[in-house]
Amino acid sequence: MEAKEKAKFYFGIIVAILAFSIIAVGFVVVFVRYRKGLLLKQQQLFRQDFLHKQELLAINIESAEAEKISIAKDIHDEIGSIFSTLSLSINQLKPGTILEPEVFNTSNKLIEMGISSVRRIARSLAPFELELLGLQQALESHFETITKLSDLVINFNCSEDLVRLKPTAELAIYRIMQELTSNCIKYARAKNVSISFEKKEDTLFISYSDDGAGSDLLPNSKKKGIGLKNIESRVLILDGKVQFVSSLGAGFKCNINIPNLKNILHD
Amino acid sequence: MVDEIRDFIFKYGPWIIFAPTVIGLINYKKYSKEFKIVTFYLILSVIVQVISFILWLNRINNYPILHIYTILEFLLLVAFYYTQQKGFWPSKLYKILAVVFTILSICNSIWVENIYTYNTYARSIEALIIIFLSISSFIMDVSNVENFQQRQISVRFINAGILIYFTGSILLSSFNEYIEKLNFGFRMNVWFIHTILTILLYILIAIGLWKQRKKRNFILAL
Repeated sequence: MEAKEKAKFYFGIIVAILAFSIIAVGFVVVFVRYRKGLLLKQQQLFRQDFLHKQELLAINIESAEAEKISIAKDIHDEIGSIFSTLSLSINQLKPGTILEPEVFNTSNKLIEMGISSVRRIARSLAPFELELLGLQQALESHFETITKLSDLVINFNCSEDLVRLKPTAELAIYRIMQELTSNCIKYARAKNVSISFEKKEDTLFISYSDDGAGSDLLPNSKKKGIGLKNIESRVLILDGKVQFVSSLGAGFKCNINIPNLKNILHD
Repeated sequence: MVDEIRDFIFKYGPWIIFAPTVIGLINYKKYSKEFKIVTFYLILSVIVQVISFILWLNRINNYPILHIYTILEFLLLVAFYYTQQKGFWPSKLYKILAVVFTILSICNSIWVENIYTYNTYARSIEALIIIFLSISSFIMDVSNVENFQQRQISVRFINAGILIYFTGSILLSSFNEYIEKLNFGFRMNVWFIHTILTILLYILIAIGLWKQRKKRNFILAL
C-alpha cells in the first residue's frame, strides 16, 4: 500500500470512529437531558396539581365557614326572634289568670313558625328526602320547588337504572345541582334548564345546560367563582371529571363524568 | 423490475430537491433567519446539481465543482446552526470552525487532493463537524423544555435530515477511494444508498419548511 493511500485509509478509520463516537455520546446526552426534562415537567405538573387541590381545599373551608355563618344568622334572626316573642307572650300568663284566646293564638302561631323555620334550616343542612327517597326524587322535589318559586322551566331526565349511591356521594351530587340551579337563578337569567343523568355501564354522565347569559370567564380558572370551584372540588372527591363550557350570550353547560360507580355504591 | 426502480430513483431521485427549494422560495419573506439560510443552501445545491449534471452530460470532470460546493455548503450549514443554536456554544466556535475549515479546504484542494479528484479529507471533516453541530442541536432541543417554540418542530425535521444524511455519507466520503476500486455492481449499490439518503434529506427539509409556512399563516389568521 502506498504511503498516501495508507494515510487515507487510517484517516477514514479515524473519521468513522470519531463520527460514531459523537453520535453515541450525543445519543446518551440527548437521552439523559430528555429524562431530566421529563422529570422537571412531571414535578411542575405535580406542583400545579397540588396547588390546585390546596386552592380547592381553601375554598371548601371558606364555603363551610360561610354556610355556618349563614345558619347561625338564620337561627339567631328567625328562631331567636320567634322564641323572644314567644317568651314575651308566655310572660303575659301569670298563675291564676285566665288564658286569653289572643295570647293563646299568638303563641300557637309562633310555635308553628318556629317549627317551620327549624324544618327549613334542617332541610338546607341535609335534605331529608335524599336519605329517605334517594337522589332522583330529592332532585325532582328540589327542581319542583324552584319551578314553583321562579319562571324557570327545568327539564330533568334521569336513567331508570340509577342506583343508590353512598350518602356522601348523593349529597355531593345534590349540592352540585343546587349550586348550578342557584347560579342560574342568581346570575344567568335563563328561561330553560336541561339536566340529564345517564348511567352507562359503570359511569354516571351528568349534563347541565341553560339558555342564560353565559360567561366568558371560564377558560381562566383563576377567575372562576367560588361556586364553580366548589363544584370542581365535589367532583374531585367523587373521582370524576368536570367540564364547563360557556361564552357570553351562549348559555352555560356543565358536563360531569363519574366513573367507577361501584366504588361509591350504597352499602 | 427492481433494477428499473433503482435506475429510476438514481436518475430522478436527486431532483426532488426542487420541492423544498420551491417551498423555501415561495415563503422566503415569512421565514426567520435560519430558514432563509436553509433556502440559500437549497438554491446552492440546485445550482451545483444542475451544473454538475450538464458537465457530466458533456463528459467533463465535475469534481472541481464539488471542491467549491463543500466549502459553501459547510459555511451555510454552520451559519444555520449558528443562528439556530444562539447561546448554546460560544459564537466564536462557529466563526473559528468556518474560517479554519475554509482555509484548510482551500489548502487541501491546492496541495493535497487534486481538484479533479474526490476531496475525501474536506468532505469527511465537514461531515464530522456537521454531525457534531446537529447532535448539539438535538441536545439543545431536549434541554429547552420550558420555552418550547413552534419553530423547533421545523428545525427538528431539518436537523434530522442533515444528521441522517451526513452520518450515512461519512463512511462513503472517508472510504471513497476504496469504494471506487470495488466492482461496478457493489459501487452502484453504495451510491444508491447515498441517493436514498439525499432524497430523505430533501424530503425532511421540505417538511420542515412547509410546517414553518403553516405556522406563520396561523398566526396571521389570528
